[in-house]
Amino acid sequence: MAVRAVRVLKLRCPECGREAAIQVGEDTLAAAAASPAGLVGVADYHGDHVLVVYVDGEGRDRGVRVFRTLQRGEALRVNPSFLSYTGLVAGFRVSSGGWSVECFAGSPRALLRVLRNEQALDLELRSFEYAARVVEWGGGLLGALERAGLPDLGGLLLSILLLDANATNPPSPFATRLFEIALKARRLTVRVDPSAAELLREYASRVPGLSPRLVDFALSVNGWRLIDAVAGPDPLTIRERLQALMSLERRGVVGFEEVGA
Amino acid sequence: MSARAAAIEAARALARALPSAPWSEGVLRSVSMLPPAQGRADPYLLKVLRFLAEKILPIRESEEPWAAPQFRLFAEAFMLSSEFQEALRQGLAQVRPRAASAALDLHSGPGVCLEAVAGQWSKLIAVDPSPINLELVEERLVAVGARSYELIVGDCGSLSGRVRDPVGLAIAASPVNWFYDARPVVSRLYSLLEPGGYLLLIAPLERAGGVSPLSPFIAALGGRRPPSREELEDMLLSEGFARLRVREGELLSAVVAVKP
Repeated sequence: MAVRAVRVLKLRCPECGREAAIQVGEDTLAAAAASPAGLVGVADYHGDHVLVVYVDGEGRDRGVRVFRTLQRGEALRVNPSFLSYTGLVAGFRVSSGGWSVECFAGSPRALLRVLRNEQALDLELRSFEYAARVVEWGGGLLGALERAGLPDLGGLLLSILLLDANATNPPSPFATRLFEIALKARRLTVRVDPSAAELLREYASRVPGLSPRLVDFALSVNGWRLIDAVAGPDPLTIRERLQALMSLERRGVVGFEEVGA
Repeated sequence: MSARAAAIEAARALARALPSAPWSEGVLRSVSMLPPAQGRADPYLLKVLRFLAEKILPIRESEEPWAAPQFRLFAEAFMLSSEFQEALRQGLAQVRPRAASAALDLHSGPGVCLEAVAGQWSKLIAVDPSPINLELVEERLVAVGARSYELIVGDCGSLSGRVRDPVGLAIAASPVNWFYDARPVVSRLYSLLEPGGYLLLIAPLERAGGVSPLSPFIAALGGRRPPSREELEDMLLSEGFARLRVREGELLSAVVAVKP
């Protein structure tokens, strides 16, 4: 059941200049009123960074901040418009010892909870048909989070997109590595081996999910940060690019080089 | 177009790319024993083997050469060549699938062989020392709609007790096998097969008095010398296998045997 947006705050991101429309619902106002500081942060996903608007109990904008890495003690709400990127996931909350990030378009009626040590993932699903698989994939995400420590917020949201994209497939024993790469996406630079790309181009049409066009795409993002390389106009493009780059990484055509945060 | 001519031509490129190291001498010696290439080289295989020649040093110098990214790419490209695909097709033509039994691919590489038998066996099992190779296997198996598969990180030396039920088909075909002695591979696969189960090997077997054009590459990688056809046949018979059939290609032979 969707909660009515009682206010929409329009502002410009100081980092990238993008115009953002932040929906503030009744639940957000109630959370702000109940918090010790009287404020709640609402996050808007901008790829490699996240714009956070602090809102008080009356829905007024009390300041903005650009986040790259989550801070301990931070509880963020992601602008529900992010859910237009997902198919199966209708809302989520990821929480660890010191922080939590959530995104719901309303008050969820039923949540699927995945737990792993200090980490918890609560998911509202549009269909529970694949709940068992979602639990397995969610476990992979939490395993990666456990290793990542305080995660990169853009990478965390990219991981939610990956979870959403894969959750109807059989669980993979390699999900943790997939999520680890997504969580670090802002710190990873794409490096292409041109001679390997040339060889792969010879047989790319015989590799599931690849094509010479995607090999060309990989060559075009040589030297880019992974999070910028996968950015696209729609969620399907983001998924396709991320999965293609992962596929090329498995074949040694692309390497992900970690650079300082 | 000749696969053999492609391998001979690429082996000459390999010889030119070698550093002056003690191990290079053996490689150069086996290249010098190769006859002149005859016929027009298969252009795809020539590219694949030239890539291997170009990348031989980083692969050899990596801690686990069979898991080096360049070797993973080579192995997949090689297994999709006409020469490998024909050997696989001829080998599988000798095998009668059993819908209730499993198929296992030891040192599976990217899973090209399991992909070829998906849908014919109740379960597919890939064993490889490289977890990333197993990701490639999974990519392929998911794409062909395989529902039941198991991916095991390991090799013939660490497989004991990890495959619970006997299998109906045991394969050792990918270039990852070039890093292993044939005898322990054959012996391990025999122990995993159910009675009446098939063994399928695809390997560059040495010919009497000659050198396989793939041998210089295997030596340069730090792999094990491939057995000759006679040595392999003796090995299989002494292990207990019966009904041996060998189909020789230009570079690769497909060997099928049955556990009585």
